Amino acid sequence: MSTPKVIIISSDDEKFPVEQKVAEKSILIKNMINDLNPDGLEEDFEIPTPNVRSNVLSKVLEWCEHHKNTVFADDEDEDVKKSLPVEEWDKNFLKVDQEMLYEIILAANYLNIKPLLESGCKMVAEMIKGKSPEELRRTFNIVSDFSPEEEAAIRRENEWAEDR
Amino acid sequence: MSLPNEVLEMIISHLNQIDICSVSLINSRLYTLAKKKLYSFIYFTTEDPILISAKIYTQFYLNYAVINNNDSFLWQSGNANSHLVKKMVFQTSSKIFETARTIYPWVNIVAEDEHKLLSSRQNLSSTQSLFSSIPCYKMLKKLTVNIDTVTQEDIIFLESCTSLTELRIVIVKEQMLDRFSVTMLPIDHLTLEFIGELSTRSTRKLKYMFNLERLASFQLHLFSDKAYSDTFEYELTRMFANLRNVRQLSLLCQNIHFNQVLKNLKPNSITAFYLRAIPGKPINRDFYVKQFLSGQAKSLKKVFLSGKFDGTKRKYGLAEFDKLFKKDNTNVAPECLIFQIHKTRTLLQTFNQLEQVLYQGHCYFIDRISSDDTYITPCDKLVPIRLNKNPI
Repeated sequence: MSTPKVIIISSDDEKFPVEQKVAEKSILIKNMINDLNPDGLEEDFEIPTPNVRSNVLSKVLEWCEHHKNTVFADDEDEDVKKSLPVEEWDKNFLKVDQEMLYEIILAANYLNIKPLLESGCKMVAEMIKGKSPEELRRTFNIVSDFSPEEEAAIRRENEWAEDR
Repeated sequence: MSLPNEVLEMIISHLNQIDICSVSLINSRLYTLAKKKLYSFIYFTTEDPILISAKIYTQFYLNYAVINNNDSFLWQSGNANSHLVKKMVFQTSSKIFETARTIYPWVNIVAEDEHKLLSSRQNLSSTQSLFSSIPCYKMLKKLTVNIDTVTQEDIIFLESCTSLTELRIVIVKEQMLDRFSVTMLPIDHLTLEFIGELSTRSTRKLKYMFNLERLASFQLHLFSDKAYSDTFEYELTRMFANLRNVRQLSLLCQNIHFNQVLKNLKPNSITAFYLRAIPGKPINRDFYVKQFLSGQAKSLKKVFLSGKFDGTKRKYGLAEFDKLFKKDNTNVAPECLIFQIHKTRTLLQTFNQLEQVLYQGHCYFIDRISSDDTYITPCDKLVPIRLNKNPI
């Protein structure tokens, strides 16, 4: 008998059979597998992910496949992790349009894949760095809900931090 | 942005204060989230704003919002966002430090400055303590002392620095150490710099002066190039056996059998190791790190090795690791580094957790894409580049 697979089903009902090791990059899925199969997987195991579309799920699983042997640092070194730039492979992998990047981040958040979530957040942070509020609104397509007086008040309030 | 607040907060955690200010002006939702991060950790500095802007993209500025001490920031009129403040750190424990503690009793307020008591006593009357110049010395976290200028009274003051976690002691005459004992203080990081000689006798006594078992990092810098005796090495080895919790170790010395001295360290406990010879002095012993650190093969992440004087005056010890951070582009010409990269690769065969290697004046970062796919990135030159070869 071949090794049982984990079959992840997207919101639009597409099935993605993957190795258990790959699927378990998602802590959500890992816990689900362990809770429901305390003696280990004996046959293929289906998991629906009703929040994730198939094109996003295939992207997320591509990441899991690539990183299936990567050992990620523990949470203890939070500061060190923060200071590291996004790893080259992840950077290229996340060079997608903004909507897709958000959907990957949302999926990583939902599926509890911390290193992918971290990389995604860093990519968005990179897009923010060095931009003015106007540039940021344009980049992220956000309409301001401040009156000119409110905006002036916030600028005054921020003065202490910006005056470097 | 169609992302939930928890994710937006994670993104904001990767931004410094300047970018957070911009984010706060986008719309009211982001204003609330940005403000929360901006005010949580505030660092009061006396540093020149120009120096600060040069460092604004380093790790430190992701953790703290930095403000110049002279600014009237929060307290004078009261600030509407003061309830968001979780921690304030003062680089110097000045008067406003005391003021802040009375106005913001709910905030964790600390003085983190490294006070340097290195000056001669000439400006003080003989009975006046060096500590009398530091307000709130009981809150002090970092301290550097020149043991030769310290009086008995200073030692009593020092013993009441119950917040002290980082202590650096510069010793010219080791006899001055005799009256010294700070075993009851919560010191986690200890640096001993012997400008003069360290004798066998003093080495034996170090364990009664400091709580060696508590230390997380230990730096022993011996600037004398005398030949050390076997009994000295024996005492040093025994002293190292007390360092049960040390993770970071720095040695500046030579003419010592490192093999012998380091053998008592707990296996796979050291994560950062710094070793350099005394600048300009010849070395008799081999700096063969693979051999004398083989017991730390599974834990070592950062290593600094400099077997000969490489033209730099840098001798920060463990702090050296933090002074370098990875940049995307590098100015280092690769062809001259092949030998060092090869050396780094050899080290990787033994130390499979290595992340950062500083070797012969260059820094290398190691990225593991997967178990068999490893990149070595040469980075920041340690030797400052001289810009003016021909002064005008």
